[in-house]
Amino acid sequence: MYNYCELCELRRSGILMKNKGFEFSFAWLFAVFVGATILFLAIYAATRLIDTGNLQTNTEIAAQLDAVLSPLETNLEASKSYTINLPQETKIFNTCMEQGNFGQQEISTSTNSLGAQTPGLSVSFLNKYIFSSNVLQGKQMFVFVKPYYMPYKVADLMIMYDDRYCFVDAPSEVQEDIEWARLPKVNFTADIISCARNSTIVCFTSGNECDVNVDIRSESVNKGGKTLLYYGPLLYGAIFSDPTIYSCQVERIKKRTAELAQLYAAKASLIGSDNCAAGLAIDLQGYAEQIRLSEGGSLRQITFISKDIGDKNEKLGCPLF
Amino acid sequence: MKNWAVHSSRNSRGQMKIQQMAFVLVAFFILFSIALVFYFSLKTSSLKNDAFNIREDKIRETVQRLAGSPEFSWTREDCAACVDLDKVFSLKSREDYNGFWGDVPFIQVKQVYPVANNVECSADNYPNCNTITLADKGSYVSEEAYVALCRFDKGEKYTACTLGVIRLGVKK
Repeated sequence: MYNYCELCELRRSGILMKNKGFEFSFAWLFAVFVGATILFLAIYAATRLIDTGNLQTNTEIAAQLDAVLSPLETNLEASKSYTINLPQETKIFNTCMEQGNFGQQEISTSTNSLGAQTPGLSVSFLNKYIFSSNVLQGKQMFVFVKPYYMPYKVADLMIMYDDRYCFVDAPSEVQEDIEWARLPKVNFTADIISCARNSTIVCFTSGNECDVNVDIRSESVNKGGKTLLYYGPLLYGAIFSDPTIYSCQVERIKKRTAELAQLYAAKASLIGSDNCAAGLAIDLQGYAEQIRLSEGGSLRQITFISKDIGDKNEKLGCPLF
Repeated sequence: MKNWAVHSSRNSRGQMKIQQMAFVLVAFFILFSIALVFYFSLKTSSLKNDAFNIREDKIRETVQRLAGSPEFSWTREDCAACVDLDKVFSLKSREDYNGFWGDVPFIQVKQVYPVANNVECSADNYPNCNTITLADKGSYVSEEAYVALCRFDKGEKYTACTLGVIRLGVKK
């Protein structure tokens, strides 16, 4: 051990470092490490909290959409319409899947929060058929609901849109349907020039400047280079929705028609006696089979069978539907 | 020698203060973590409540709309709240409809008036029964709606209607 004088001598000679040096002890190291950890955890937790909050909000909106859409299903009404007002600018993603006995309808939403758009978890249902574009965006969405019969009620077609539409030379039945439902942002005109800018132009007579061409005689809609066949109120689905979504929803509706045909066939066997519906059970089973065979094919053939079954049902002593 | 002793004493005090600060930081970190755990457990339970309330609202709407769905509705006459009991009974044996109305643990149609013994319908006793259960699994809280239950009486060859309820369950 050096005494004080010996230490001074060593310093003067430059052997020992000056007193002004800083000793980075373990305690300092520990304090810096703990501080950095706390800061990192706090920033990480804040980021995760914001993301979780967004995910929760978006998923809740999608779930609440289901609660809003359910009361819109028709009972005895010919049609219904509704305006969905959203708290902020929202994107609604419509996904349709054909797999399974009834296919699947998925809806997910995304809100613009702090500049980021994080889609929420999707909500799926088997018993809803939403015809719309792949993505809808806005604070307001318009819904038009029409029941679909073939020949019994199969489902409610829910048509959702957010854009302006201009119907040129529409037949009176279409005009009455839409005016009765008081659909917003849908205008009727005899001349394409009168259509507002940025509106989707739907022509019922041929035209090159039209976004959608409807041929009432052949029951077809030409949209985006694709020809979509329709029957009855599926016309509105073909006009307002993306062709891929339309084709998928039509396949889903056909599946449900087949399942309902089998259900009515089971009912016919249950209540059947000689002139009371027993014969129709076989026709309904054949109808269900024909629908399954027409998977991916046109509606035309099964609409003929459905009309035939409808006529036979009316003549029964105990009609099934 | 004396200056060196003073200098050494000051260094020890400084180190002691630094160590005290380190311990304070650790204690603060532990306290903060406890507060965070408490906050997240509260948030999670409110999230569960919100999810339960949304499910309950959905079930209430579904009960009211179920009578109008094509699988349940009586379509021969214009009757918004009439259920076709023959179709519902036929639905019991159709496995394709499992899960069709969502993740609903309990669906039941029951005759309320005329009052009858609680008998579950089967192929052997239909229509001399009063309950048709389409789904019954797990624990749930049920909601119900009054409807007319109509069926075709093949003996008398007429439509017979009685008062009934549709019951739907929501998971607890």
